[in-house]
Amino acid sequence: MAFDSKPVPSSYRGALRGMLWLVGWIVMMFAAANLLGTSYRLTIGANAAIAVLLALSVVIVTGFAGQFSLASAAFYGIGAYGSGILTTSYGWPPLAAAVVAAFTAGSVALMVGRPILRLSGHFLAMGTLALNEIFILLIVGFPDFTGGNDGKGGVPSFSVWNYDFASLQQQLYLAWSVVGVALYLTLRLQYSRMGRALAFIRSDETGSAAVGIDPGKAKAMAFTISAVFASVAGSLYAHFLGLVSPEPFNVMASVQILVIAVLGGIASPWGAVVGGITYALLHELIVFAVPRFFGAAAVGAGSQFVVGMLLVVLLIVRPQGLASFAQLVRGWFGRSDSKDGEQDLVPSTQISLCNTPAGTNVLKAVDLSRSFGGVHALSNCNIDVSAGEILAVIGPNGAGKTTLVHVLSGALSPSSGEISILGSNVTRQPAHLRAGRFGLARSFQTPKIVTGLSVKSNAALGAHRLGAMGFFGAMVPTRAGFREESAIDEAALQALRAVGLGWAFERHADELSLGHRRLLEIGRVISQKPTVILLDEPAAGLTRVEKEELVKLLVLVRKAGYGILLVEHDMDVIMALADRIHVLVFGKTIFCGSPADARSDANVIAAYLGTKPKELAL
Amino acid sequence: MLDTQFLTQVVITSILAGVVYGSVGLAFVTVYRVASVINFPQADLGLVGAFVAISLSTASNMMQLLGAILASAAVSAVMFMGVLYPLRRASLLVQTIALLGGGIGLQSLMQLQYGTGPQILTQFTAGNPIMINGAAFPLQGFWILAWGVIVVTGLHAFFEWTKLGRAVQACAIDRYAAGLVGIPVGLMTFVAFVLGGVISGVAITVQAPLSYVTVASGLALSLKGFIAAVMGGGERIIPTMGAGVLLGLLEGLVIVWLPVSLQQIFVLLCLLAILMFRPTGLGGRTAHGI
Repeated sequence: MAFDSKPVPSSYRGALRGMLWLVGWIVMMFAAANLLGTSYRLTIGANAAIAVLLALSVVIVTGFAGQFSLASAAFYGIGAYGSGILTTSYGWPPLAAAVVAAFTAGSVALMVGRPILRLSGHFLAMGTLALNEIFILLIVGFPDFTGGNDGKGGVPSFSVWNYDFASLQQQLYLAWSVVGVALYLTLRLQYSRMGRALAFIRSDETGSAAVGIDPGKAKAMAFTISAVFASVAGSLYAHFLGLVSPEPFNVMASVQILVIAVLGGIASPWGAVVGGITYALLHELIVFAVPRFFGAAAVGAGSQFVVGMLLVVLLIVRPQGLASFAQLVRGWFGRSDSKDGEQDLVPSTQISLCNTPAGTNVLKAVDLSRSFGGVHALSNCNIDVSAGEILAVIGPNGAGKTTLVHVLSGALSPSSGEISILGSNVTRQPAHLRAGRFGLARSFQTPKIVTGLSVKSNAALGAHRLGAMGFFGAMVPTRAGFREESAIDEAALQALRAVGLGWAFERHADELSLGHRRLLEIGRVISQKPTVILLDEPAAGLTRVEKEELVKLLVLVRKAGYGILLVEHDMDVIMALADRIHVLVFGKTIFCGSPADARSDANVIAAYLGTKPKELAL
Repeated sequence: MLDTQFLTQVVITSILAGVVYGSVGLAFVTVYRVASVINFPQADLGLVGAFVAISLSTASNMMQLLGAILASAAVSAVMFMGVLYPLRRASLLVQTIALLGGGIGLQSLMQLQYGTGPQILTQFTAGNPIMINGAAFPLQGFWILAWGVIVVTGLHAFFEWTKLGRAVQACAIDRYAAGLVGIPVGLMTFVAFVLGGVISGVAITVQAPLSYVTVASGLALSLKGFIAAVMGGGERIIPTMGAGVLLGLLEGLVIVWLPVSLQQIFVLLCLLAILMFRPTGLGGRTAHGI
């Protein structure tokens, strides 16, 4: 599974870029702190940093992973209360308190994340909203410990050993240094193996499992990282203000944090910076302007009103957020993002060879059945695929072909029967393990392409199972990480060239036609270096020329030694490719044998032409 | 050990509160069955009605109720036209966030107008409460029960027995196809949205004489209505009301064993448990991805 260890030059370049980034950030921060000058402006600057951190936490969980969480304020609160209580009631040093608080927030998120992130859409929103409410009720409900509604004062300023971040200027440095680190980590995550995985989960969870990503685990991890970011923001808040009280951490605050992220562009880390700064300035404007319209007593409600309306207007007018203005400006100067490589109509690269010797049984299903209520979509089906052969599964509409692919790949569980890959029983294994550990690769009837990613990143998703870098490895730069990433890159490019899409690698995937999307999905399948390949109607909707290209490509894939199960309707494609044919009618196998025999089999002819011979008992 | 008078009182209060939860739940169901969105600020829309009724303190009860109906209908219409309609082609995630934003805007406007303090409405029917087992059943309770019955029978009859009721549900299942067969999808979702506002508006208004209403109480009420809707299967009318009453009883009886401070936590844990055991979403319909 591991890649060959050969030196990769880009690892040094990557590390160098990271260093330059850090130096640049520090210089800019000091310049900003000196330019700001007055204490009022410095306070806004520190508030902005906290807003940016909170927005980054939303970017990771909602922007990257697509999970709509309304619990960010609770984790923000865990940080603030953790730091506040530990430093005042127990006299802990602030750094230790912040670390323990962040650890607590992360642990809570990890524990709650897995079950609650099984929910989606509205239900996840309501569930996380309930979590946030529970947090507030706990805070208010244990006043001896938390100070209840009055909160807890006297939180000291942040200090590391003997160095005290007491002045506003020092606080600004501290906050923006933390933001710099968090931003760097988030940017690294975005373009990493796990970042791509989150993008696939956001776009389609079934698809992500088919390349070996464990959606449940990845979502819980994203939730955890987001919680840690929010908790750190909370610790900073507690030390800057010297006071914690329940109100800034209620559900309303979660929505405000969401507004900051939406303001900048919910999936953009730089957008979080723009959003955080804009929000901090806007907040001052609101505090200044609202009393003039609503009276001095109305600052709270007035600013809330502005925030709510801002959210609505923003979503209607510019849902991509302020960060999208950068793209707009780039567009004015006529620079296009994507440039094409050379057009190579004929696949220029060999497909990487299959490891399994030809003729070995790679996929076996015995007595496989699946029913939906009273409908027997699949009954007692026996499947055998060997390396280096194409087994075509055909049958009229509703014959159970797609059900078969779903059951074999683990997207559906069988009602009865056994499935094994290379001799290992995988019947009880979830889809992501069948793909990740056992090397089953599949395509979908409607190609599951992540339109937000480039063509190359889509192909790189196939190589997900070949890598090992988790979230930590993705965010913290290491030599092994750089090496793995460039190896994945190379595997993706090779697969793209093999399917004839090498020229389009820098394009956005949503620019591709259906035919090209099909090819891209097959490229992704190839870059999985699979044990067995399942293709679900790859020719559907293609033009005649595209079908011919597809046939040529699949011949090459077979030649490279892969075993393929091909579900298809198109008889020309089947006759050009199939080594054996398996015919399903209403979930039952009526024929299994060579293409030549299939043509003359009375049952097959009956199933396709509609007559019903006596010997066929359906 | 348990005092039967106390217990009876708890049951009476809980059932009345439960009918209100059930009504708010039915408001959710009405909007969901037609527009296929969960209208997060459902109870806030209703609260507007209650506050308008309170501000019409010199008017007769009927005028107050009429004011509540008109106000919650109007504010629902504004919410629909201002938030949901411009985003009708946006993703569910965007619609939900926007409705949340609209709800916050609405809540803060109410706070600016009516303040944060608790307010109360005078009883619709004057007179002494009926004594059952030593516990008091307030006459206002009949208004709450009556509204519950009206909502349940009305919605049940509309969705199950009328052709229009069946037609509007097609909007939620497939907007495009519903439009193709001639159902005015936009109008129907608008009507459902306004109807949802009125259902919760009247429910909260008739309850207002029994318990104080505050501007901030919308969130908790929305959550409980949502719980009732999910428990009732999300689509069905009578089970939703049943679930609301059950939730009210559960919430009320829990005080008998748990300290008050843990009561709301218990209710929220119920919500989480219910959500977990229904991972595919309302009524078994496949959950919408975002």
